[in-house]
Amino acid sequence: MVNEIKDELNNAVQTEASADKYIDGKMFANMVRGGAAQLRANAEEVNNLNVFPVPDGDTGDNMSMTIESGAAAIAGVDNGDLAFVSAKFSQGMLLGARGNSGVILSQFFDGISKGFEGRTSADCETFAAALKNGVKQAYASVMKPTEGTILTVARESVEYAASRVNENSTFTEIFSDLMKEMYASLERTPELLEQLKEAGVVDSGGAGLYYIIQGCSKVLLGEEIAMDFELPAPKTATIDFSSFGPDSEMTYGYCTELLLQLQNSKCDVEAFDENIVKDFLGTIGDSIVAFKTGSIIKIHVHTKTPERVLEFCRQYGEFLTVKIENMSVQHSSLSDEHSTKKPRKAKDFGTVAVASGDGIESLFRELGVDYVVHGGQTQNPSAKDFLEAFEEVGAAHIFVFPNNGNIVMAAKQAAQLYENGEIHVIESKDLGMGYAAISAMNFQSGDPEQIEETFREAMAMVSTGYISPAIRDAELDGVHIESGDFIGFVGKEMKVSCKNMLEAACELLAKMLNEDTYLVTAFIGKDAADDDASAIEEWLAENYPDVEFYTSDGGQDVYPFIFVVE
Amino acid sequence: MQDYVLSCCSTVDISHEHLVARNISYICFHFFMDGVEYIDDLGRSMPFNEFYAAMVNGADTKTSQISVGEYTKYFEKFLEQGKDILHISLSSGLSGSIQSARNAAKACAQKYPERKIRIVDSLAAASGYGLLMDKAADLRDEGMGLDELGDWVEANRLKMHHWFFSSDLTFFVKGGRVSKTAGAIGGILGICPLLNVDVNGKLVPREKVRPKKRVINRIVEMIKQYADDRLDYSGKCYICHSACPEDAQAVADLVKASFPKLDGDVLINSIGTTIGSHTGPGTVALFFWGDERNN
Repeated sequence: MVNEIKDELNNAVQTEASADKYIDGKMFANMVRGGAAQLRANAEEVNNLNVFPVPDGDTGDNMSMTIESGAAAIAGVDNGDLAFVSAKFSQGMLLGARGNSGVILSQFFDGISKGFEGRTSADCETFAAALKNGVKQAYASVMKPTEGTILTVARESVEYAASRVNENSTFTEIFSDLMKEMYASLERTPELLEQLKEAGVVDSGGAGLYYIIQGCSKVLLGEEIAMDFELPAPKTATIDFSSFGPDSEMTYGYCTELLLQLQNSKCDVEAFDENIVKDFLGTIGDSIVAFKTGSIIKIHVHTKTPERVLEFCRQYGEFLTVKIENMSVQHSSLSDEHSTKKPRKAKDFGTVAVASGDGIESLFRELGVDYVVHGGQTQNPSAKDFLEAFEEVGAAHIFVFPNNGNIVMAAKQAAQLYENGEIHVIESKDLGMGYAAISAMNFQSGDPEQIEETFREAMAMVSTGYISPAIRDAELDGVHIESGDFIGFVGKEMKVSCKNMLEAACELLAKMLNEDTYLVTAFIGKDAADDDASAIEEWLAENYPDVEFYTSDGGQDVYPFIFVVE
Repeated sequence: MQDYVLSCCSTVDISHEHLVARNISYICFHFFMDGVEYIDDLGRSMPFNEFYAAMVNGADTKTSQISVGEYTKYFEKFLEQGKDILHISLSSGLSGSIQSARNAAKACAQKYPERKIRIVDSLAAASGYGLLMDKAADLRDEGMGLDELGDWVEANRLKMHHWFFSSDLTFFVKGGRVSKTAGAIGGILGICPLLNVDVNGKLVPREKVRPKKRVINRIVEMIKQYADDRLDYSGKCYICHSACPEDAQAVADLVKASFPKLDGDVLINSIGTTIGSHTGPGTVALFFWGDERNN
């Protein structure tokens, strides 16, 4: 009651001074949009705060895409209710979260939003409490919180700013405190994390958060900021139109995807049952997905008559987006996914794995993976990407292989958001672990726990080594690196740096192999030649005659070779 | 000496000489290669090497069951001589041929009401089926009667362990013996599925092991895990393989080194043309007596 009176009072006398004492939904929306824009403007710089001198850092992109997905969720929302706007924003972020820092960021904002529950606006004390709640939730989202990361930067700055809040505080003051301490905390991260110190960088996630808060602050102060940032264009698939000519037969139909905004003028939006759409789609196609979130229905169907889908759906609303693709035409990003798809059938066990590289992706499918989410170190999939994969697989138990340490959290976040089955995230932190687990896939026992155990056992003894060109000079783990060298590393540990790729590969293997090694599997990247693989094979045969060597054309970017050593 | 006929199918994958020596009769399956019909007579008409080489070169192979008529003719040969028959058939989980045998037996029973024919499902295949027959011959020689032996086989057949690995499951899938959706396609990157015969006499992929060297260790571990008396196993052990004698020998050597109390040498045979049509080359199978199969 007191709050309501306060709010009314606030709305009634919206003076310059009181504006700085309260924020409402509109202000919040503008501030986070500003934060997103500011981060996007500095994303490249954040990307480059990469411990390894490898062109695979994408913390800036991940965090940008995460907050932009929140911004997209409140696009066009004209509502002053702080609880409503912040909840919608955080929901968008949770779904759009990519990479571990993206997930942590989404959890931070979700915690803040929970601190606003039931409030149309917040004063400084409420805001400070909400921030603290955000920090708490961000820490709770990580199994073993590491200091010297985005978590520390968020915690220290929030603790500092909150400690200075009193009844006379203004938002200008809070943000000035936040920014000041955040910067200082960021500068201290190398003291907390040895890897940062060695690489001579500050924590990238913390830097991303700094830019977001800076953007919020600019909006608050009415400073100029490029507000009309664009959502990054989805990576365009290369399309081979020659696969469907004047005499081609329409065999597979169209992959049709729609976002249908239900309209009150056309139907009872709230009561509208998505099954009406589902049932109709069932009569004209397969691979059907139709689910309602709020007033929007997301639709996916494979049909030979997409025009009927459009016609049917428009009875109830208007489209937000429409995508219709001829499935006989090869879309590189979808390719096998669609052409080989069979009608959906609910099954007991399914699998989703993340991979990038044509060869690796098709190998995984061949080994029984139901759905390959395209992505990896340089392109972390979002929680939403996983959710879509889960929907598509539709099994009662779905085993997920993130195959990258930076993707595990997004997979887990999606697992929590998914309701139509049980998700088992197998924490494969690199390609080797994922490959070892997937190649042991066997559902014969019918017991999910036993199946999980089989996967975990298979990946327990695997180590994965990467070869990559270095893009700058560095000194890491005692290895001297010059730009243009080929470096070899295992997990987060730098092992070798050589002028020559082959030499780097052999030296890395020499460091990875021991007397118990019995198997080396090499995934050959785009930038490696067949000759290189044969040279490695010869070198192995000579130096490690008991080790079996297999190669697979992985087709991955960045790394000419990925070695899986067992 | 019992005077009934102990009989089996040609899918026992032990040699003609072995069967003759043990006084076991057998009836032959057939197979087609590129449309030409051959008799599966334990490698006498077509040497196994030739058979697998043709498969590798893309020859189309197909097996055909033994018909009721053939069974009738085969049984009558013994019945006319006034002999009773105990026919132990290839696993019903792998072939419908036992039904033909039963139908033939029914017909014969009407024609020779004074004779006895009993058909027993071995729930076994390949040299595991062979090892079961070898044991049955022992028991017959020790004086066990037809019905008593039939009962014994029914009571003990699930103690026969069959473990297979293959470096290539292409032919298993093609023959419909392993489902494609099991994601069990081996061959690539040294992935070797390890299978066994389950409680229903069907082939089931149990594990996938990489690479071949490790699956050889793994298959021998199955004896340690399931055999009677485990490391002190003192029964017989048979191996059969499809055109990969080195792998079979490697398994045999490891078995001999691991189980010093073994009864006799490890017998290595070739997988015959009927089973081989489904396995293709590259399969090694190991058989021994152990805990009753329960899944």
